[in-house]
Amino acid sequence: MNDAENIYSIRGIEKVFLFTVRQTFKNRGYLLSFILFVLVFTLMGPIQYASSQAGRGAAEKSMSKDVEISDVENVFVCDQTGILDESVSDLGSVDGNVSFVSDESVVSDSLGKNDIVIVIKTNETGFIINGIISDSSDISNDTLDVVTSELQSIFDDTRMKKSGISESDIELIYSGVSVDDPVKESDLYVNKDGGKGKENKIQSGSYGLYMLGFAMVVFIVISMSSSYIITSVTEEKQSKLVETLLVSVRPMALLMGKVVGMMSYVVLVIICGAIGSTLSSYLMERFLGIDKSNYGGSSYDFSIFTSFGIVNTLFLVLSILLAFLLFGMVSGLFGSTCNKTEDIQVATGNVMTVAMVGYFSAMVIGFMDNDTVNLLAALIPPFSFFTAPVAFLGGRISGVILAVAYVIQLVVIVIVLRVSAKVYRLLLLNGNTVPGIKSVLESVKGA
Amino acid sequence: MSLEVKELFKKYGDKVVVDNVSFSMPGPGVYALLGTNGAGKTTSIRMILGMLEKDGGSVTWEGKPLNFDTCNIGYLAEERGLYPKYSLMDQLRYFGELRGVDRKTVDERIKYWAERLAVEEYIYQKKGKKQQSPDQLSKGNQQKIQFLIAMISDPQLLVLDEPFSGLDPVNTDLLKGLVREQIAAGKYIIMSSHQMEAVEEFCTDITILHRSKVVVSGNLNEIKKASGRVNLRLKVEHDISSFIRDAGVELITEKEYEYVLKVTGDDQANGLLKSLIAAGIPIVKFDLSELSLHEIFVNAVGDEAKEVQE
Repeated sequence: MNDAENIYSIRGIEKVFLFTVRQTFKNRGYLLSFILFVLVFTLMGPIQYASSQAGRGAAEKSMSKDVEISDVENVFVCDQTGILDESVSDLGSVDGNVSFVSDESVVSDSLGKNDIVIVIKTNETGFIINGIISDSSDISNDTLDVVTSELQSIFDDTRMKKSGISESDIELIYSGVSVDDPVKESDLYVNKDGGKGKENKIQSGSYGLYMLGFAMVVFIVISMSSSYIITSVTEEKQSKLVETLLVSVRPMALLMGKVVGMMSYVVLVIICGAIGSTLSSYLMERFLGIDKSNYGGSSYDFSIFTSFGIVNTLFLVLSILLAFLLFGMVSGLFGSTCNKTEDIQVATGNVMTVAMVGYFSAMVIGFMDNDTVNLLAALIPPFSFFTAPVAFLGGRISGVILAVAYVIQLVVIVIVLRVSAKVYRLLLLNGNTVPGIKSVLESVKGA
Repeated sequence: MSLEVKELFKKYGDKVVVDNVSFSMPGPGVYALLGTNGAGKTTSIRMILGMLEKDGGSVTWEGKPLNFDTCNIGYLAEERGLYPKYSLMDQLRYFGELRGVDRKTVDERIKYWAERLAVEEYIYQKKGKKQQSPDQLSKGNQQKIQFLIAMISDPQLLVLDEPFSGLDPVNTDLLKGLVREQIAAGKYIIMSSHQMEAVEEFCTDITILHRSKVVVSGNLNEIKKASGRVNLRLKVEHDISSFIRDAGVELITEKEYEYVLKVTGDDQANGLLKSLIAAGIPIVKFDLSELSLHEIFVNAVGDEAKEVQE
């Protein structure tokens, strides 16, 4: 070839890009997908809240066992410890009269069907609270448990006060440990060398969850776009428009315009979804008083995108874009090997298999949390696209390793770019290709 | 302006598919690139237009490598198609914009060519009427839309690959008229077709490819002159078979005393004419002409071409 042509020229990419975006949104299927995805993102919070409430309700229901405690008539308290004040007349949720007796035998022989005797005494290990009902009692064991518990809590409160512990101290002692509060970065980090060093690591469980969340986002982005890119390229090849297009625009501009156009569609879905999700969270908190901590984290954990500051979030976004670029170009190449509609399935399957391998590997690598595996996965594509930034944020690899990982990823992208520039046009013009990598490699050899 | 194609060469593996094809268009006009199926026409066109890498040779336009940056190209590909589901207006605008034409001019040209090609109803949606999607258009209408796409940038160089195939006679005449207008407007046109009569109507120069090689190339008139006037069409009112035999003229066909004959040249034809006049046979038609393009093609590529024609 003596009149060298710049096969890498992307002149006209903006026109292909705009056409791709316009036609994507004019396509009913893609418009519907867009609306559905945004709706799912927007309603994810309320749905998670509703399901968590339903779960909690079911749990509480099963715990309470439908205790009916309104049938208690008299509660006789026999406090052999002398701790309780005889002024106690209310047992919280328990109906019925409360009265103190000095000896349980005074009433135990003449207990009615709706009466209970509670005996409080000491033994060598501490205090014992026993509930007694008559042989012909209508009171169930569950009701008896509730009444005993109510009295136990009054008894504990009283004995602590009598021991000189202040109200606030009692409150502190009885305060539960919340597991619903938002987890802060500082809570998650542990110092590797006893707090003296600077190197921080995310704890293993959280690392696995972060890895899973990030890999999921990468996988969603790839799966949303690859099928469209393959379909779109095949459609052009099938409709025999390729020759008409190739006298107006170079193959790289044609391919990259589609990839970037589709990237915009996916990014727009994510941005609109994020806005919708934020809005629904705000509305739930503002008008229903439901804090995000009541439902967040009940499924995938995407908080990695908000937990590490803007700079680190940019690393994550950069990795997603690089993954998108690579898989987008590969999808385009595979699309150019398709000759009929059935081929699209094969080509999409090929791309998705690689993406699935990346996703599942990231999941395993995250929960395995082995230093050597983390390092290798961060450096070797396609795994590195799914794991490298999380490994860095999790303190498993250094910034230098992350930089090396990016360099390797860029090298791979440049190789695919060069292959695309050489063979994309050839594959588009060839109507006898087999869908997949074989045709691409054969074209590389022939180019 | 001039187009220069020099020693185009392409091979796939060990198989040479285009072997040193050269021709030039020093001025506007129609150049015909002919050949049997698989002779290398489409591959040559793809290399000329920069769609395929060349293994050898060059293509220049005004001394610069030809591509869509150096020349405004319009191309009607042999394999025609449209995006099946996108609206025609969107597609036409897209192609116009890809060729660097601004939206206003694109819209004006769409309107102009839609009227000329009688395809307005498929491009402009009428109120309350559902528009046909491109894949519902007839083959002929799809072809006219493709021609519109080729013309949308008002190209300097127009490459028409099988422009009349699949068109009914009315639309063939319509398209021929438009091609004539483009010739008159001083456009450079490369035409490839199996319909020799249609090509002969327009072209001034030809290249015939056979098994990847050029077998005939040059100005069509000169090629015809070189082969002499050998076709004689003779119409009389009596049977003249004996005169034909005596003159040693080859009889091709005969129908109701109209004879199609093959002569060796002017002398043999005149000899036959003299003998008929001498015998007092009234002559209704005596038409001595050069080889047709069809014959030049068949002579050049032999039996294979006959199979293609059949």
